[in-house]
Amino acid sequence: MKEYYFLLSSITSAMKGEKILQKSGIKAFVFRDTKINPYGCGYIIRALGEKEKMTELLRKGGVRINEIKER
Amino acid sequence: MLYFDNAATTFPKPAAVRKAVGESFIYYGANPGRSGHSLAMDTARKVFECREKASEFFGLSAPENLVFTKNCTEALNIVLMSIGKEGGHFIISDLEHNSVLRPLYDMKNRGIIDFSVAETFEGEPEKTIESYKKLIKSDTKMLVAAGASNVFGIKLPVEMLAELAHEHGILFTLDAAQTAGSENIDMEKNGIDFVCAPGHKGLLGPMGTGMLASARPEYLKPIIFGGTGSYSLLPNQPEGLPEMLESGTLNVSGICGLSAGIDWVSKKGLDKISKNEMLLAKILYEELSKMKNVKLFTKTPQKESHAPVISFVIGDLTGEETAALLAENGVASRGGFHCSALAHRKMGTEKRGTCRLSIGPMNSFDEIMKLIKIIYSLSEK
Repeated sequence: MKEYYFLLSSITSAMKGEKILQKSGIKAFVFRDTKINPYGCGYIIRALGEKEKMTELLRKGGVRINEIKER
Repeated sequence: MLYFDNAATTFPKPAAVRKAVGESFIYYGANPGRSGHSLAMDTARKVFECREKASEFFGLSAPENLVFTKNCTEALNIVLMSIGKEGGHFIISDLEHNSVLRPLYDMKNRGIIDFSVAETFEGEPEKTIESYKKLIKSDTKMLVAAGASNVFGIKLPVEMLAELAHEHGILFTLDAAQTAGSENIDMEKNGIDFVCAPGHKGLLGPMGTGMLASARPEYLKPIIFGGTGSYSLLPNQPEGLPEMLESGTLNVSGICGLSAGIDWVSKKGLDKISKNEMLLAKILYEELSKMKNVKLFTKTPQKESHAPVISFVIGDLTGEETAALLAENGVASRGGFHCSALAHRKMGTEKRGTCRLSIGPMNSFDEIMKLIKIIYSLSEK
């Protein structure tokens, strides 16, 4: 299992995504970063799990992902 | 004081709402969506919790499509200006508030849009629908209706209007200023595209809170631009709800109070709240109708056709004079024209105005009986 950064468009998306992942038993938390996120001010979900599964959960939940980076 | 000005804002607010507002200054005092420290994150989570709660309350599955505004007027302005930006025709009712009339009137005066006013019929939904239907044109973009008149309490057939709009490929907006918190509003089930609601009336939140719930977010455009806490290096307003429409710092204390208000309403139950309010409204109306110097303007209030709002005047007094007399006797009401020129014109009260008594979830049978005695004694003088 690896750790991933999900770069998101807004704090609301981040909050929604964090909740979706945590509900599925995935360790996830939101933090703010301007180095990883190239768009200038943004929120990132740091999550430990399978990339495909987590991506699918977020997309199904309507969370718009800008980019995924492996830690 | 006997408070019967709940259509302007409900009072008093439940203790839980007051507590939540107070606690927000201790536990949620940082700016959500701006920083990464723990207090900002806790605040963001609290705001999201209320967003989820409010979206569920209106039958909206995506919480991001629930935008916090400062009031219902701002929510209505966002919708009307977004849809009207590229022209087209709107149909509103003859009971609409100035928060619907004025943005449309302004856009019409600037040659951007056109709009028509549909006649409504108290307690006759089919006739009201027919009236809207007759005004639909090839370029009609939206039907707008208040859930209930803020002056006379007359309800409009919301579900039927939504159905009519969709039959013609038109959007439907509900102004829920007088019905959010006492009527069940299920956007997906009832086919409502946009719900504009205050947080500080039936939902018992603090003043300065409002919401725009959207089933068609793709149509919305910002009317205020600025900081969203995202894409800060880009000059353009970021797309996507809710941030696109929430530039600037949110009213976090208000949102915390609103969250507690929604909890209070949900726990009490819409049906129970509405039944109690309508029972009190009916008693009040029936007693007022027996007083020879009191003039009423609507039929006996019924749950299916009225909200608990009653307009009246005493003798030859104007609405303002009647309200002033009540105020001298410890009753809070609202006199005048209630920001509703259309409704007053329709009912023939555009010169005198009316005095409005609006019942809220905190009013009791005892208060209604005291109010009746006061009005009776004033009307006999």
